[in-house]
Amino acid sequence: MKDVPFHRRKETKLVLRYLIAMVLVIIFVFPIYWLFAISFKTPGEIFSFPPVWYPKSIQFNNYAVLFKDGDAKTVGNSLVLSSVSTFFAMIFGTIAAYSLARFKTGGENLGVWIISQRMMPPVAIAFPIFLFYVWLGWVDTYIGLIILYTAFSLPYVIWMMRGYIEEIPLELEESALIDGCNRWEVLWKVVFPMARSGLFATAVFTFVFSWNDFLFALVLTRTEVTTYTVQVTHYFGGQSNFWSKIAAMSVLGTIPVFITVATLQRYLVRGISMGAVKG
Amino acid sequence: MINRRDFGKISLGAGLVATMARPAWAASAADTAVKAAQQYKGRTITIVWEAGLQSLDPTHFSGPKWKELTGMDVKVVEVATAEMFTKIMQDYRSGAGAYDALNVIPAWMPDLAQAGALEVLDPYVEKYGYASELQTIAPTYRDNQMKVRGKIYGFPDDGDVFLMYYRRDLFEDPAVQKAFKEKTGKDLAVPKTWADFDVVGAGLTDVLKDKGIYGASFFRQPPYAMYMFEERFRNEGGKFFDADTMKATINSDVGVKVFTAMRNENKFMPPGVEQFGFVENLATFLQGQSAMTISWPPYGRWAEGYGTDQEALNWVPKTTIAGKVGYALPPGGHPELAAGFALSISSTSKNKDAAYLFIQWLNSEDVSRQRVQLPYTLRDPFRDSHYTDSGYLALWPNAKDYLAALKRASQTGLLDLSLLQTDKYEEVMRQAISKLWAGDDPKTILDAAAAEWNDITQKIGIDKQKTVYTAWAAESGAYPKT
Repeated sequence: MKDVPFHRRKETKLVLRYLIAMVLVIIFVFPIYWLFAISFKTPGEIFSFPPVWYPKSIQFNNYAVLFKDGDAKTVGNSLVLSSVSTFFAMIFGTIAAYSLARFKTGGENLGVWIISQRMMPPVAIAFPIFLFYVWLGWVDTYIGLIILYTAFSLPYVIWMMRGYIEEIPLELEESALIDGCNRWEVLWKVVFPMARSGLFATAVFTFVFSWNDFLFALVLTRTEVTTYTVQVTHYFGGQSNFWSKIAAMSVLGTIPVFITVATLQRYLVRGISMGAVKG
Repeated sequence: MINRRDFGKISLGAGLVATMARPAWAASAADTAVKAAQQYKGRTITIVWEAGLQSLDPTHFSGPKWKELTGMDVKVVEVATAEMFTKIMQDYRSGAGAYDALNVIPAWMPDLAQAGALEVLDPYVEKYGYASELQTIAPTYRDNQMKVRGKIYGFPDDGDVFLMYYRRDLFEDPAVQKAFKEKTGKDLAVPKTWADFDVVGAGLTDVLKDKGIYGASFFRQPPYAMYMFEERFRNEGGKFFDADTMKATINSDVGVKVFTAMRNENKFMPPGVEQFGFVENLATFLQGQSAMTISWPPYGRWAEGYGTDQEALNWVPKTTIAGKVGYALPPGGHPELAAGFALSISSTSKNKDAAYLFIQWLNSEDVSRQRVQLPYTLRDPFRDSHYTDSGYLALWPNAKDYLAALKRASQTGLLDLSLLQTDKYEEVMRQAISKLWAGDDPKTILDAAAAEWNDITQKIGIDKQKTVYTAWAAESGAYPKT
């Protein structure tokens, strides 16, 4: 057999690598493309066989209907609930994480106990929470879901932020204390800036967890604060499936997360590569 | 083009005129309800309704109309079908009393009634003089979907039933008839038995496949195919349980025969039929790619293009077969009622009388006649008078054939299996059907399913379930009367 020159072998490997990468990209990107494509298609195109691979003309009717019927409000509800709960979870969680990391509050095992709460299947507490919320009059209210999402996100925030904070050299905080800072100032001026990437990464994941919630939103809402995840299920009927609405609403529901992740991507990568998830 | 708002207004006007035109001496159940409900002016009643098209009825038509007549608001809580039972039960268990009126799938009634979630309606029926109009609901619905243990818990409000739709133009085409005869040696006719269906379906595929037409297509996703199995199994002589021991008998020879045939038939249906849901199968039929199909009544209306120009129905594929459709009972002659809805009152409602009056009015002869003609709400004819209503008969040229088929179905339809915790049994069936499409052995699948059914029965309590099953099996629509 004839020897293949080294540089040719290197080129072949490179081409192969690109080919595999392209195939993988197509596999992973195709569902997203298909979702977008359906959201712009006419009903006739959606049901065509063989499939119409791209809409013949981009039309926004499927989106317009969501706004006209008020269904798009549910994306706004999700945005409010996820943003506000993430904000509170980050504040309370970071303070708690600092306490655990620096003062060893509750001993070594408290952190593990806290994160174990996040591992509990949500369905196990859904009904007791519903009963409690009925008693409080919090069913179908913003405050009810915000408090719940905050509480549910706290273990994750505490666990992640504790890891990030532990990575910050203690000497920096001691120097700040010697320079006259109190603990709150240390937190604000040293810890937060140093753990910035971790903060953003944790906030993004917390936001996404709340954004994706279906179970609690289903159980605890009726008409006023319905989230987009619950709204999408309204388009599946025994005798009707509104594929165009399903696709358009899913796209609307994807955009805020997409923007959040894209905006904070550089913190996300750095955040993931440091702290607790580093292993 | 009339949009859904215009249609609502027109219907509202027509309804008001019809209501006002009635002489005082002939107060209908609708009039009675309106008159009695006026004392509750300013109140709001909350009703749980299936999300999607169904809910356009209370949000666009009946809710505004009721408000106009009585001054009461109707708040509609839209819930996906799969979540309705849980939501209703959850509200009841918590004692929240958030819902006043309910849409209940009749198969849930034993569970909900036993739990105490539903209000017994007999005293209200008597108080507001509804008994005689209730009797004019078509027999299968009236006799099977209204009572639990002899008490009224819901008013049948949707004539869901499977019909067979076929391409009349193809069945009457001499060239197709000739080619079919040459291929099969038999005359082409709409099948009345499943054995006939196999011959006709396969034969038509052979004859028409070159034109892109298959002999038949069905929805095959497990939640739908489960109903098709239930219907066919009983039409072929199967029983779900041994009535003495409560042992499941779905794995009998009949069950295996039906399962085997269902899978074999997929071979002459369009590729990928195993994944067809309601809409995919509808698209196939409306685009002229299958000669026969079985489904709920909306297929018949949409195949004729009735109402599909409305915005709410713009997702329905454009029909290419208007004027070419024939209607028949599915093979066996006893079609599954397949879900349906009844109107009930929540036992924890704080507005029981007001809510009752609303459902009496909705369900009444006058108002239900208008509701089943709304093109967008999926409420199907369910009263004797619906099948002969002159307005309905005039909606499209062969509406009379459609309504005649529905009327026959309303006399011979089969009730969904309705036990304690029915959904657990149904889930086993759905999984069994998934395995069937995956290629597992029918006998093995059904043996496993029967064993799971027995476990469920055991856990619920054999005697407890036997009482419910015995009452269900005694219903006129439980098993075909031969």
